[in-house]
Amino acid sequence: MSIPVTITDDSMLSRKNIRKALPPELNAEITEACNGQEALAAVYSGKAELLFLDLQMPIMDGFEVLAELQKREHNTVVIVISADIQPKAVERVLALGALRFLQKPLNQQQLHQVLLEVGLL
Amino acid sequence: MNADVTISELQRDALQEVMNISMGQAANALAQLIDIRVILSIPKITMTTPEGLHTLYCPESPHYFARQSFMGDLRGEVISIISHDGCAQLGESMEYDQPMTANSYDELVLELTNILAGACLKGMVEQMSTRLHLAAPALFNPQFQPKPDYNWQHSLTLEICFSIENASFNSRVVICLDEESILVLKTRLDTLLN
Repeated sequence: MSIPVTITDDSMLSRKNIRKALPPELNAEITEACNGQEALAAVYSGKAELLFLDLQMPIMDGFEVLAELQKREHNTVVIVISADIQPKAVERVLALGALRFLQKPLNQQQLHQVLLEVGLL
Repeated sequence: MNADVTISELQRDALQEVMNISMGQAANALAQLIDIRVILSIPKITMTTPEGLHTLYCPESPHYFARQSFMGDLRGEVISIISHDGCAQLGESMEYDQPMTANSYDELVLELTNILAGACLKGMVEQMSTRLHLAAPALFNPQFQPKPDYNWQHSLTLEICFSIENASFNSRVVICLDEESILVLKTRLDTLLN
């Protein structure tokens, strides 16, 4: 059975890197989003059981997306993939309900490990 | 030089992502020193002429200026523009003797330049497998600076802004590359994209 996955990043290169790093056994049905608004639209239309989320994005950033999902008590699994590696930024996204934080550039093995930890593999 | 120095949309996207990762590393280096979260913005990439570069030197509020040249696979200059506002607070967080003197402000600006510009360039170099040597930073005052005689007509400027949570500090790091370096950069970006 496939799982709906949305990859949110304003960078095409970054979206491509995440897509390439996904293990085939995840059987992901992928939607791409370029900003927070598109990410929320994907979540609300059932396209994001798993949401990969960047933080710095135009229109709506990743922090705002997390706050909105928390407000609505949405149960989407969110994995933040960001260049903002400051411990305070990581603390903040976890407090806002992200399940895991991965730093850019994305390491494929770390992604695999995180997917195992959150029970998606 | 007649070679095409313009960058495609795909190259711009890749470069923006490279700079995004580099600025994240720079912000983390500063945040560790001051124990305050550094706010990042989306990097801005523009082509400019020597005259255009001079417009950078006219911010609305008082700023310090420092420059560092770099050589290697990529050649150019990195300019750090740091607001006077917030420097006193940073100096305190970084344990400079209080009250700060004009000399200690100069030292602080050079230290911030090394941290921010240094980490930005290091991140860029690591991701693009280039090598370069960064000279020590020097303060300058654009008002008293003779207009430099640049040997290029176009430069790529990569502008990165940092600010600090609950403080009025802001800083910009602008990386300027000459035309030959832009061609090298384009090749490296194509490698990343493939």
